[in-house]
Amino acid sequence: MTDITPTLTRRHLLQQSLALAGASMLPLGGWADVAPAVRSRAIPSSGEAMPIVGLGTWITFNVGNDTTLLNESAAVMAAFFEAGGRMIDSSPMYGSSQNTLGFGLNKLGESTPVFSADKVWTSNANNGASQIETSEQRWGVPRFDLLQVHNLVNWESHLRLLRRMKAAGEVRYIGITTSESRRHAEFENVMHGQPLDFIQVSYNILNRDSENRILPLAMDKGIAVIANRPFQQRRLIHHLEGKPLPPWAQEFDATSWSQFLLKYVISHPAITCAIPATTRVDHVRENMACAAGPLPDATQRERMAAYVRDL
Amino acid sequence: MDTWLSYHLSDFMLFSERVYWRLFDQINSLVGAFLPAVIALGCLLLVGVWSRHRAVQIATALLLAAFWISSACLFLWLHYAPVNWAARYAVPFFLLEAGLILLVGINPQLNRPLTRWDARGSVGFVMLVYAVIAHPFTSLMFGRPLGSAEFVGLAPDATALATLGYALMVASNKALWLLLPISVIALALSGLTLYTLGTPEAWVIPIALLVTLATLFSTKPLADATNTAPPARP
Repeated sequence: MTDITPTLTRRHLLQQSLALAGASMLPLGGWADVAPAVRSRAIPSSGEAMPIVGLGTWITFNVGNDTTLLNESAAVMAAFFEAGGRMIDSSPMYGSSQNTLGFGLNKLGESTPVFSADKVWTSNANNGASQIETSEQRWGVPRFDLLQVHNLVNWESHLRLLRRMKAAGEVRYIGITTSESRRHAEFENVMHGQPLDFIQVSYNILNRDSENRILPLAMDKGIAVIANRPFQQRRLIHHLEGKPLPPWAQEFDATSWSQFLLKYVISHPAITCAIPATTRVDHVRENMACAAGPLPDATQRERMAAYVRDL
Repeated sequence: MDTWLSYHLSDFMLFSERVYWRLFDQINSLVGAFLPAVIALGCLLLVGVWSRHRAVQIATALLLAAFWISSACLFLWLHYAPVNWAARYAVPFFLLEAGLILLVGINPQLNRPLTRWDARGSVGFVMLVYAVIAHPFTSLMFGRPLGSAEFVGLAPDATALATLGYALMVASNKALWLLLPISVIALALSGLTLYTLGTPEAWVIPIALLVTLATLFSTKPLADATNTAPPARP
């Protein structure tokens, strides 16, 4: 998959500086004007450019009715859009995350450049359509950009529904997800047999199962790939905390373990977008910075994986 | 079924430890100025369990039953369910527990004799004191603000711990089977949640459950009826 690399102009640099310096003073709704250019990859089925770092909501956006945490989540979303992000992914399985997204999008204004990715997750085939409608209401969006069958739950029925919705213009892209490596064989079968725009898998420097068959197959069939859990729910970062970052990480501008880990994920040519989840504005900025800088090449990637494995 | 079996416990833990403790912050804030009154009502349990007056015994049971209902409404329904969809399924069991406490409270045949500081009664009272007075301060022990303290009547764990104590002190052998199952299951599920969240307080609940079970199995069964006259001497 080809990178759509940012062209940094004086205008972009000025806009980025202003965005970082005066984020709190940004006029709401002006995202397109202030977002810096970030590395994007094309969605194979349409050619649409997608910033290579997105935002996950699993656990982090499930904050219930807590006003303080709702506002914190909205601040994370604002920082994400300011840094040039677009794709936000959620699911009906993620507790109140969809409501939190709705709260944030409503607070930030209608002109956010969000690429809304959600899922259908119900074992009852008849409940799929109503669940999607509820999810749209929670987000406050008229339609989703991407709908995926969550963890292959009742995938045959739900994919039929999603294909009908796509044909009717009720969703732009469709796909499937799994967070379980042991289901990759079934996942692969669906990829072979069904027309898909996207797949979503768990992929990180210590969980490389997808590299063998899933990612090459996605490239071969022209399916966009969303990588979730790039930090293994921060467990990877906790594991690496206090350990030295190798000096050669500077070769691709990784200044922290989180950047090291995220750059490993997004440098795989099959990955269209990684979706790290966070509750912190500084973390979302750090993640988005990965989308602007250089990425490791194949040799460096192997070196990275070996280094972390041996720690 | 295969799909469901492919999930791990941690897959259902869809909220963070911070969000979990902030639920109690929100509940305590919601109760606001009435919080001292709730704490005072909790302390009334400590007095009520010793009373030999039927009216007080019934009032004590009513109070504890009301605590289960308030925990179900304030914690499970209003605050926990939005972050954990499974919580709403626990509400009927909380209401059932409230009903069972009332049943035991108003029926003297389901009470045990309240005659002395025996082992079961002593452990029960210590458990009750812990639930009402000490448990809220575990938040401070683990570096959390007092704002997220768990009070009897507002927080399920504190309420269920108090119920263990109440059951050990008040319930007859038969009535223990009515009062303990829901409390024990609620605490076990909560302990599992805390363990999965990785919170250091996770050890409190298994200890309470072990103490309860050890007390039950190590103490001699008691007569089931209360206020019965001693057998006439020949």
